[in-house]
Amino acid sequence: MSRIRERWRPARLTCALLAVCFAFALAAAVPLLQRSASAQTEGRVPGNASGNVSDAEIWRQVRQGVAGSITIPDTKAAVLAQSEGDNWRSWRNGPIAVVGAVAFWVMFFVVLSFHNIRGPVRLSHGRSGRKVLRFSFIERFAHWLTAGSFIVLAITGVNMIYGRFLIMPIIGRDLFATLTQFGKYIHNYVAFAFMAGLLLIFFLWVRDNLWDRYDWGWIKKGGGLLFKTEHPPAAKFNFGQKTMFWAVIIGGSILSLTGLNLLFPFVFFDMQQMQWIQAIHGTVSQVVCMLMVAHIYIGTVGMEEAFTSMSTGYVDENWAKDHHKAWLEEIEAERAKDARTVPAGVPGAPAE
Amino acid sequence: MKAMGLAFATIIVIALSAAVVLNSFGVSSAERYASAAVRLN
Repeated sequence: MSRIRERWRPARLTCALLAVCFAFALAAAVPLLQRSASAQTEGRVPGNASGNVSDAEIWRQVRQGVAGSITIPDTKAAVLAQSEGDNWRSWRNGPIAVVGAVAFWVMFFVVLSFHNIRGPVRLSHGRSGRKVLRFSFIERFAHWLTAGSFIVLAITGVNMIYGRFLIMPIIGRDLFATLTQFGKYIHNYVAFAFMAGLLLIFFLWVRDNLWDRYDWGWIKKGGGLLFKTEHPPAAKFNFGQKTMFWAVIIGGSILSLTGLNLLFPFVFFDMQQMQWIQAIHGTVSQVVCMLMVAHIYIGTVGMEEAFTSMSTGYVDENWAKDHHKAWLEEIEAERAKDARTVPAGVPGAPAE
Repeated sequence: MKAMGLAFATIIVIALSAAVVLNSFGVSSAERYASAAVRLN
């Protein structure tokens, strides 16, 4: 045994010497390795998927909307998270929805108060029995084409903003989703009828809705609507009707243009611009809806004979004298009275 | 009332025509939005 130990002694001494050398070498290399690793990561925590850059930093940049590199044709896909979408969503569900609803109900209660305090605008001298053609067939057609499509668009559009909060809790998610999807398709397609009606009423009535010499007098008297006084003279349309006409034309044009871009998204505009377009579409539609409350009121229960002018086309001559005296005088001066006037005693609208 | 009835019928005709024409293009707006929706969430 002792001979064997003697034989392996040099080998054991060599191994021990090598181990001591390796230990010294390792101790000297550790600071160098640490300095090198620190220089590569610059103090950041190494990540799993991104090598020496932390995952947290990458996702922070993604969240801030940094565009990456892509090879597919859809360049929008380079941005994984579009943060402006949060702003758009908060505006849509916040100020636009809340202010729009408040404005609508404020207008509703203003109209209701007007009705209760002032009362409907009645004929000052009763009915004469003589009828005057106020709106031709094509004018009424254009009005109802615009009005009918607008009401459908308003109902389906209001559902898109408020339905989630008002209807979904009542009918449930599934039914609400189905109805809203159906309503969205109706909204898309009926929009073209609205645009057609808008073009028609523009070309039919633009000439009669330009400023004329009667408008300032109408404004000074408040249209004779606020107090039960004599109505100021007006041509075919008074200043109040002209205001409504231009509000519908301008508001409807904005809705049509923004609506077409929403219908064909990303053709002309990028993601953030699309969000602006949707916000404008929602805001303008709220304003037009608010104005329509007043228009529908004054065109139905708020003014005697107003609805028949758009349903049959004819109004009583005394109504025309009350509200559109200058227009009636023009008609009489043109001697169109024979063709447009129906003898007294004929009930309702004449056959067309 | 004839004008009103004709106008309402026209709304239906225009809406149906728009549906047929737009769907014949192949790519609907819903598909375009669906591709963008992932990035909004």
